[in-house]
Amino acid sequence: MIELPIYGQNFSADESADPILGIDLGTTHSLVAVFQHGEARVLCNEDGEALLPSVVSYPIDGSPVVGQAAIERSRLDPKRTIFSAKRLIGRGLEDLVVERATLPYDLVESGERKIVKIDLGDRLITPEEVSAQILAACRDRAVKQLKLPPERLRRAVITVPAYFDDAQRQATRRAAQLAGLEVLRMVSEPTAAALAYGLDKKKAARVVIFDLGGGTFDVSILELQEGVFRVLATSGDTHLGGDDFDRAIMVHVAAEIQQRSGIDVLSDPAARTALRMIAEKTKKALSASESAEFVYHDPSAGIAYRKDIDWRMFQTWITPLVQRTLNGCALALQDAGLTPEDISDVLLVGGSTRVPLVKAAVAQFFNQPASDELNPDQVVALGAAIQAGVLGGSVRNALLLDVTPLSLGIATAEGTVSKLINRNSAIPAQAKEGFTTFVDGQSAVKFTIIQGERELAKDNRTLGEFILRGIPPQPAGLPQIGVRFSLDADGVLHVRAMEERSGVAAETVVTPKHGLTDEEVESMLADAWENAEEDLVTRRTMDLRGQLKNVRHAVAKHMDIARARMDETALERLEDAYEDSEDVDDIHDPNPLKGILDELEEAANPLAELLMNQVATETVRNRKVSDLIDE
Amino acid sequence: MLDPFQLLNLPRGFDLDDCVLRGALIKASLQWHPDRFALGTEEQRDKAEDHMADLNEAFAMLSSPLQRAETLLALSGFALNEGTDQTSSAAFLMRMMELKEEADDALKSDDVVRIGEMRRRIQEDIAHRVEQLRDSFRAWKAADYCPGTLTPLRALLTEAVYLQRTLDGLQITTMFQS
Ligand SMILES: Nc1ncnc2c1ncn2[C@@H]1O[C@H](COP(=O)(O)OP(=O)(O)OP(=O)(O)O)[C@@H](O)[C@H]1O
Ligand SMILES: [Mg+2]
Repeated sequence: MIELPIYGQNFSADESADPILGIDLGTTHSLVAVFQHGEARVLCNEDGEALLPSVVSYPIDGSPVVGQAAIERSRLDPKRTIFSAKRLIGRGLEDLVVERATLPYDLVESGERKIVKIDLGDRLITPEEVSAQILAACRDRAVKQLKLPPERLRRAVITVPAYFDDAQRQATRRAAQLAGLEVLRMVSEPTAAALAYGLDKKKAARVVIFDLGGGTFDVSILELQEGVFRVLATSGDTHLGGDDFDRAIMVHVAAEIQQRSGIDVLSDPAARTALRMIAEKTKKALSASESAEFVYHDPSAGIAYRKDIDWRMFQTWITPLVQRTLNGCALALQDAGLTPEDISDVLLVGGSTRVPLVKAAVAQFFNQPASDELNPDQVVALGAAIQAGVLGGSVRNALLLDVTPLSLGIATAEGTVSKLINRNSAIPAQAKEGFTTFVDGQSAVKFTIIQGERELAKDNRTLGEFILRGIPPQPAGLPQIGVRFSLDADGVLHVRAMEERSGVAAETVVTPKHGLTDEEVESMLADAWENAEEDLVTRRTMDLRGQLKNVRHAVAKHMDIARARMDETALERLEDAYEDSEDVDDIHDPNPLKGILDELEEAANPLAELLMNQVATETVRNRKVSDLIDE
Repeated sequence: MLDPFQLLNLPRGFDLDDCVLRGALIKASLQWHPDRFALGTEEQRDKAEDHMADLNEAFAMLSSPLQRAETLLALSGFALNEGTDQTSSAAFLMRMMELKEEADDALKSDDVVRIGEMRRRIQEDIAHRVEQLRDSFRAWKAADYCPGTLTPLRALLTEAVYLQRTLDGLQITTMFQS
C-alpha cells in the first residue's frame, strides 16, 4: 500500500490577503466578481452596470477604449472597433469563414504559423491583445470598486467555454498574461454556473447547465453531492450563440434590401455594423413581444428599409440553430449514460436563453421547466468568484471535478488517430501509449497531436507537432517510444516522449498552431510596459485628437449639404469651428482641445438635423407601395 | 500496474456499489485535487496533479463493470488476451458480425431514434451479462480463486467486451461534428 502523505487543505484562508478576481470573459459581455466576507458579488461600474461590453476600439491616434465607450465608436470607426474577439481567439482563418462575411473589421493571416490577426489599417493586432484589453478593464474596475492598488489584484480565475479546445484555452491564458494577470485556474463556464447555483443546496442533484451566450454554446451535466460538483459530461459548440441569431436576421434583411434596391449592403463595413446592431435590438424585442420593427436608413446609399418581423419568422430562421443545441444535449446525455428522467434540475445561463424558442425547446427536451432563480448574465462570474474562494481557501465546502470536452490523441502513419484521452475524461488526466519506428536506423520521429472526435486525423484539429530526435540507430520496430499525455486541471495538455532503451526524451507544452508563442507574448509585454509609462495627459490628448478627427471627417463629408441648406449664421459658425479645429497638433493640453471639440460638435448639430430630415424624405421616396400597404 | 482498489481505498472485488465508489472518489478528491494546493508550492501542485490523475483513472477503471472485471483478472495475473482468447462460440461471433453490420447501417441512416433504440438493446444485452459475471466472480471466489473455474467467466467477459465495443462505435457524436 502506498502511504499517502497527508498534506493540502491546510492553507488557512486569509481575508486580508489579496483578493482573487473571478472573471467571466464573454463574447459580448464580460464581468468581474470577487468572493469576500463569505459571499460572491459582481462588481459594477460607477453607473451600476455589471456587464462590461467585450468591445475594444482602437482610435487611430489614441489609446484603446473598452466597453460602452467602444460601442459608441463602432459606427464611426467600424474597422477599428473589435467585438466578438472571443470567436477569433486560438483559431485559424479557415475556422472563421462564417463570421468573416459579416464582421466589419478585416482579418488576415500572418506569419509562418498562420496566426489570425486583425488588420486595423495601420497595424495588425491579435485577438489575444483585444481580450487582454478587456481583462485589464475588468481589473481596473476591481481596482476602483475595491479601492486596492493594481499590484494587489494580480491573480484571477477566468472562465472559458467548456467546449474550448487546447489552443483556445492557451490563447486565453496568454491574453491574461498580456494583461498582467496570473491565471490561478481556468474554469469551464457551465461548471462555474453550477457552482453558483448549487453551493447552498444541500440535496444531492443531477443538474444540466444549458449555456447559450453571444458566441458559444455549452451544455454540461453535473452531479452534486456533499459540496463536490462532478461533471459527468459536457458538449457544445464554440461557434454557436446569439451572434448567429443576429446574423440570421441580418442575412435575411440584407437579402431583401438587395432584392428591392440592388444594393449589397453587407459589402460595406459601416452598414454591417449598423445592421448587426439593429438586428440584435430586433431580436431582443422579439423576446418580449410578438413582433418587432426593423428599421434601417442609409441616406448616402439611398436605402430606407423597414419591416415588421414577427416571432414566427424569427423562429423559422433560428430553428436550425436551436436544433444544434438540442443535439448537443442529446450527446451529453449519451456520454453521461443518462436519460432526461435522470435530471433533477435544468439551469439556463447566458443572454440567449431569454429567447422564448430556446427556453421552450430546452424545457421540452428535458421534460421539465428550467430554473430561473439566478440571473443568467451573472451566474458564471459568481461561480468564477466562488472558485477563486475555493483556491484561496475561503470556501472550504466546495470542490469542482471537471472533464475534458474533446478526445486527445496522436496521428498514426495511416492517417487515423490513436486516442490517448477520451472526451469527458475527468481532469487532471494522464495517459501513455507506445510507438516505434518505421525504417531501419530511423533517428527521429514526428508526433502530430490531435484533438477531436473524428476518425481521420485530418478532420480534427491539429494542436501541434513535435519531433523526438537522437534515437540511436536500431532496426525498424525495435525502439520503444513512450508518449505521455498529461492534461492539467486547466484542461491544458503537456506531452512527453521518451525512447525507453536509450532514455532520449523530449518534452513540450504543445504550442498551438494558431496561438502566440512565449517569445511573442514577452515582446508584447515589453511594448506594453513602455506604453504604461506614457502619462495620462498624453493619452487624453490623443483621444481628443482622435475624436476631433472623426467629427471633422463627418463634417467634411457633408459640407455640400451644409452649404446648400444651412442658414447663414449657423453655416458661418460651423465653418469657423471647422477651421479652428484644423491645426491642433501644437496643443498638448487636453482642456483647450476639449473646448474646440465641444464647439465643433455643437456647431455641427444643425447639419446633423438636416441630414436626419433628409433620411425621412428619402424614406418616403424609396418606399414601395407594398410597404405602405403593410402598415 | 495501477491498483485502483488500493488507490481509492476499496476492498478488491467485483461487487461494488456505485454510491460507495463515488464516495471514495469524493473523499480522495477532497484531499488530493490540485485546487486544494493552489496556494501551495509548485512541487505540491505537480504532485497533486499526478495523484489526482491516477485517482481519476482508478475511478474510470472501476466505474464500468466490464473494466472492473478486466482489472480484477489482470490484478490476479489472468489478464484477458486480446484476440487469442478462443472462448467465444462461433454462434456468438456470427451474431456479433450481424450486429456490426446493423450498427453501420444505423450510423449511415443518421437516424437518432434508430441509433438510440439499438444502443438500448445492446446495453440490455451487456447488463444481462454483467449479472452473470457477478455470479461467476462469486463462484470463482468460492472456489478459492482456482484458475480452473475461470473459463466460463472469461468467455462471458469476452462477449460483453465485444458488445461494448460495438456500443462505443455506435454514437451520435460524429454526426453533429461535421
Ligand atoms: N432579451 C434577450 N433576448 C434575446 N437575446 C438576448 C437578450 N438579452 C441578451 N441577449 C443576447 O445574449 C447574448 C449575450 O449573452 P451573454 O452576455 O450571456 O454572452 P457572453 O457571455 O458574452 O458570450 P459567451 O458566453 O458566448 O462567450 C447576445 O447575443 C445578446 O444579444
Ligand atoms: Mg457567457
